[in-house]
Amino acid sequence: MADKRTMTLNLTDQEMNLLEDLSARKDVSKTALLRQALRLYQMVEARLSRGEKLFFEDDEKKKARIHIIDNATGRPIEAEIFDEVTIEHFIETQQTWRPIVLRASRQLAARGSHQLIPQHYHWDWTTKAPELAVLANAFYGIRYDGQLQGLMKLETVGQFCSCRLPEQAGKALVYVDYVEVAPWNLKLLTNALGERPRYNAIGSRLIEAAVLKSKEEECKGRVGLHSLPVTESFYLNACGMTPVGRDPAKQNLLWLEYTPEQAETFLTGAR
Amino acid sequence: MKFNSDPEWLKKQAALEDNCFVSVGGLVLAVEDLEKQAQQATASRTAFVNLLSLARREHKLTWEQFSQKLDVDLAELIEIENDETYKPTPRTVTKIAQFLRVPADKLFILSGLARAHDRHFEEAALRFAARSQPVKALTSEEHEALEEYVKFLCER
Repeated sequence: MADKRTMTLNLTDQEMNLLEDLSARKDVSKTALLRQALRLYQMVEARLSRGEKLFFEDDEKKKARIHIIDNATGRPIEAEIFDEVTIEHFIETQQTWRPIVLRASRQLAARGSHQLIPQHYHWDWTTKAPELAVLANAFYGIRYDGQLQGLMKLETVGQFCSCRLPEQAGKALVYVDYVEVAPWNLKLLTNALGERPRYNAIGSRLIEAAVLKSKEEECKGRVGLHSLPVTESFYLNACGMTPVGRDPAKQNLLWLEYTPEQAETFLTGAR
Repeated sequence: MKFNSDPEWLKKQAALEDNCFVSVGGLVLAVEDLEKQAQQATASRTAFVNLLSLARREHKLTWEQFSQKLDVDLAELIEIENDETYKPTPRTVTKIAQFLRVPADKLFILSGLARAHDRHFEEAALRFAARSQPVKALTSEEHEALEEYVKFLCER
């Protein structure tokens, strides 16, 4: 047995509370906990000095590798989809997306294409920060090349989380409250600016995430949303959702829904 | 979550998505309200700038003379005319109202310092903004528009 030496520790109340809490949770003495912390710190230091990386498995679970299409080559490229969305992501959309959308909208207006101007460009994510903490909401982002390529907000509880299609009326669904794809990926906007869209299939990947979330929530893939007129073709043709009808409670926007079978068809591409 | 890893599925989806616009604005009501506010603010703002400009020309004053008459900073007057996002100080708006002999609270709305709750007021601002594009000489139509609008502001 090695000789032991004694040292007095001066800790703040907060530090002492943390030490007591951790030792109680681990069911070890405070001294034993500090020994473990020291060994862990020593191990981390040794591995970092060998050039190894430190990561937490849980963090990895919150990110998933997916593929999107690089329009320059037409080939799939690996991107990241994550659900740990923070206020910084919203600020990023405000700072990097809005000026481009605004510029493209002005071009469209100058050409008389008012009906094509995106109707949500005034949506201010930064005021929505409190919604991040609501457990009934889920957020997903897609990142590639260090930039946010798409962002989505889902609701699992709320006034729109109920099916309207007669065959599944009243059953729970996941409501897509907000989806937006980075403006440099939208042909309508890049064309207005004389550029080419960079990446493709971002919207499909986000809707795929919504369907998978619906399955996780035991809604069997049932998803619903209100579509703006200019986006209807995406949900009808690219996603294969069922148009249920115009919703007078939501400015006569088209309400679309997935049945479990349609959601599965979308996921597998068996159409 | 297990995402589809089939490249053929991805390519097919990309082809289907290619010409589509992708967005959902669940809070579209809030959006439209914001857009209406923005449009209204723009119309009021244009009316305010044009009112100022026409009034200055009506009195045959240069910007320097106008700033002295109003007892406000020349730089602020120039900002008001050239920067549509610039919000003038309440003092400046009050001074302008005194010079034009119109109620200050109306000018507060026009200048963007306060919000209108009167549809007629908004419509009148929009009409005036549309009719009063500044040109070098004050035309009889502009003169008439100015007179009419000042009368409207004073009556209400």
